[in-house]
Amino acid sequence: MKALVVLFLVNLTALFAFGQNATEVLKKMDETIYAPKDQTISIKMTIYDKNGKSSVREANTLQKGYDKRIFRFTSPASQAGIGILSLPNDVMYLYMPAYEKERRIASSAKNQNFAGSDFSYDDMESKSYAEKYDAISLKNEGNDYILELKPKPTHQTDYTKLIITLGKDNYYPKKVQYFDKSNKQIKELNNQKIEKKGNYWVATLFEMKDLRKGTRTVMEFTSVKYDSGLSDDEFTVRKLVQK
Amino acid sequence: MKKLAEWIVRFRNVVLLATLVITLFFAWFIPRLKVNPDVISYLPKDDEVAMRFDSIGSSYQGNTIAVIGYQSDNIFTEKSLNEIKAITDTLRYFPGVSSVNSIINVIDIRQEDSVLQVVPLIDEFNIPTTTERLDSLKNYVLSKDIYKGMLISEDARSTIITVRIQPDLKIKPDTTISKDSILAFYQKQFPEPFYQLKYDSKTDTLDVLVNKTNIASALRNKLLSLNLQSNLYFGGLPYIISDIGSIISHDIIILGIIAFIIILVVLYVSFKSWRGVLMPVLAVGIAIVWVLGLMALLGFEITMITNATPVVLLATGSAYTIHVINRIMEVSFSENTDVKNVIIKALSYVALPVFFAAVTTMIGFVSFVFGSYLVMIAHFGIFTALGVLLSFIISITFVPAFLSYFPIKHKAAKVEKRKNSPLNVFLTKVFEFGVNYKKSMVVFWTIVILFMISGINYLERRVDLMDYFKENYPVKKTEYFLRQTFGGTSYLYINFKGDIQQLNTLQLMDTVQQFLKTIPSVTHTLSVVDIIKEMNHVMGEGKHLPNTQEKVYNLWFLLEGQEVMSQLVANGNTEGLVQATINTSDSKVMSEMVNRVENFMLQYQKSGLRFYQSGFPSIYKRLDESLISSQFYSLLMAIILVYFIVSFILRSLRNGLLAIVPIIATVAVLFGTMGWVHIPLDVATVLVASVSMGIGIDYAIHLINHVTYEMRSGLSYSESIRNAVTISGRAILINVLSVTLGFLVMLFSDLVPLQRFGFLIAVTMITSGLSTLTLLVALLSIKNHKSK
Repeated sequence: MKALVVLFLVNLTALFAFGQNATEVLKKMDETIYAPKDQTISIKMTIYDKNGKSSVREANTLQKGYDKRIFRFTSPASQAGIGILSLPNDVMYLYMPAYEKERRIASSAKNQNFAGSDFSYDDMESKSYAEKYDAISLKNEGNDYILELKPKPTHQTDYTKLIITLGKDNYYPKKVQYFDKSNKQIKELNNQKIEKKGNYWVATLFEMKDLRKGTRTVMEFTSVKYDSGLSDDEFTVRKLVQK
Repeated sequence: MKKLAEWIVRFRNVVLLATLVITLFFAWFIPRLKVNPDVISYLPKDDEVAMRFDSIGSSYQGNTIAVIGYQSDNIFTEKSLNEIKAITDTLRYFPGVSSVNSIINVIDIRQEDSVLQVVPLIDEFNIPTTTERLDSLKNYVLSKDIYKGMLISEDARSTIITVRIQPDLKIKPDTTISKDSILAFYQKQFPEPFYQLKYDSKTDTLDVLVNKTNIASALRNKLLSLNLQSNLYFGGLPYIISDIGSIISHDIIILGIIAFIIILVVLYVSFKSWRGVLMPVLAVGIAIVWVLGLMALLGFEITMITNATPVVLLATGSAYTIHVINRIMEVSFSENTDVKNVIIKALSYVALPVFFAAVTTMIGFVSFVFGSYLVMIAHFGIFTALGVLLSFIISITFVPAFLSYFPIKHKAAKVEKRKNSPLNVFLTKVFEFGVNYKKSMVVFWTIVILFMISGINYLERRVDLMDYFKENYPVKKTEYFLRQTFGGTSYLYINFKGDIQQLNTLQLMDTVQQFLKTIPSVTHTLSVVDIIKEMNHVMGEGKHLPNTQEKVYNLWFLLEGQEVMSQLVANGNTEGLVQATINTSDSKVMSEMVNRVENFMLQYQKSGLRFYQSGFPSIYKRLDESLISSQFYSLLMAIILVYFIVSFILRSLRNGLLAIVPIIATVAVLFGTMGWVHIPLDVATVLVASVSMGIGIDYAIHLINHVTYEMRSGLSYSESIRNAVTISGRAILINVLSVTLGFLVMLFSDLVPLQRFGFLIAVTMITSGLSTLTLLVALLSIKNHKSK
């Protein structure tokens, strides 16, 4: 009788898991990541070259929803003041303080690396995964889901496949593996410290490794503030130039 | 000697079996032998020039660049652009490739509709399809100097794709894991045959050696298998080297077989016996198998120099067996005794002179080890000396043991016939001539030697890699096409160390670039300065370096992470590269270029910035210099050393001097001929001197030794010389004829250095033989005359 109950419970869990199809899991993951209405974050970015030599960059970012963001470097001195404004529909502006000029920059640069780091503009983009990728399979592995994504035909990327490991408890990704056209894994993102800040889950320490080049970049959120009611005015070219 | 001879005859079965077993053992390893055509690896690991080149390789993703030319009716068609994209993609994901540059992915800096673009020149996801867009792209690309004539031809019919091949890697693996599991793990990471893993237990590092030439060849095969409808050209150093390599192996096989047949025919005509024919070739063949097997067993690689070892052994080593057989036949003619006794008697005489000949030849080759800077020359010296020793051992063990079972048959009639054979008649004439006109002979040779020495003044060091190929050879045509259209396929580098982002560093790099542009053989230059200027232009401040440091920093921000940057700056912006494309492979032009650049840089020595020159010109200059200078040095060393040894063997300093006269004559004629006929000293021809040494001394030792032997057995001095000339002279002449004719086959080679090599070996053989039989004989009879 006891055995029967166990069997029933196991079946129930399995049924529940199957009910969670890949697309739904992807959707839940996106909702978890982009849950905050707005965020004010201070970032410390440490870039390691293939010999392990490191350099540090710091920046402040403001983000509203997932398609408005302003990114401003504070250190090193040589890059202080440089700002990037991302707006909906792939509109991006760059401000260069030395020239005292802003320039709209091309979105087709997405596959290139951002500020010498191992993150590409594409990786940094705060666009939901579901907008760019189709979920094609889902696997259960202990406390994790393993989600496989393929880029949508409209999404222009160097990646041909993404494998995301995410916790069943919080739907927050732990690891993302990126594959190239020859189906070789080329990059790996590890969210090393995932914590709940207020109502939201966030990775405050994460690392991107470029497996071909042997380089890696560690990002650390040194301060995080959510839902402080940022207005749309914060995300304008005028604001970008002002500071 | 007699005891040894008796022992060999008594244990002939053991000797034969042992030879067979050893030969099979070594033959089994030969297929493992690897060819290493990577020229740079020939320099010692701690050589400054090699280290600089290596460090450029590891800083900038590789220093070996393959250049692929793509040609169609018009590059700016949807079909062509898609084909170029396919090529770019194929190359990008090909193992062993670190980066690819083509018009598809080259970084382009422009302002379009007020949007700043720092993006690939052509968006690979949106290749233009309409005639209008294609034409506007064409006009745009051709309007920019950084593309026209560099990346795309002026007629827009061809473009180049440059491929950087991965450098060797050094990995520090986790030392808690066993060596075997480390190797097994990395074997999976680098499964392709062009990777070689070597674990160094001392430093706990894993070296991943990359065979760049093989990767280049694999790339070529892969692209050709795409069946594109356009023409593809494969240029640059990796292809030039791999083609030289494949022509050499092809020629050595085809021409080697023909040469073997010719040698066999000459030997047959001389010995009139198939056994007499087969033995010398077989004996050397066995020695070659042993040497190559040993090289494979010990992990040595075949280089552009060591691949001459079999050929050189054929020339030097076959003589030992010829002398042994000649002597055995001689004894069996004159004495009617059973075959065993014939062999014992012949061997007890001939073993010693053959041994001396072998030892002196070995010394000649071993001296290359001490005199040489280049590793490959040292290897050549060691293994050729070893091969000579083995040829000698085989000629006095295996050869007599074999002949004791299968004696060379002769009939009484043949003996008479032999005495009147044209060869003998000729040798008698030579002897009489040498004795009767001894003074004129010496005068004649003195004039020849002086004439030849004066020719050495015209000896040229100038070598052009392109001269290696006959006209119309595909590699040569490709190279000239790529030079004409895109300015060349090899590069000179100047690497700067310091803070590359500093405006004054960039200004100095700019100055150096402007200077490089004034050198006639430099067609283009490229550095991060060009990109900064381009960006400053787009920011509306003109095509020059920005006027403030802050502006440089701002521009740099946009550049960081761009693929092209990893080819121009390295190690966290502490190194920056100026790359100059050159359109020459002429050693003299390159040498002058290296010196000119060196001199120019001197004036900036005090700037506090460190910089150095590297690239193909400096590597080539270094190889060229060390090859030639080490050769002259070791040749001189060898002659002096051989002189003392020969004097010791002959127990006379004067006889020793006589013995080296033919060598001096031969070396003079060799270099003199090269001077007068304008054959430059290069990798191949420089080796001929070593061969001439080895052979020249052998002939002299045999002759002088024979004279002393005959005198000890009671003959008069004059009779002794006559017998030496007619008996030993016979073996000498047979050797000269067979090897000369064999090597002349190389005149039909596809590679010019091989043609020259064959011709010069022939010159050397003939001079060694003739000077021994005429000059040495004349000197010997003058000595006789005086001592009377």
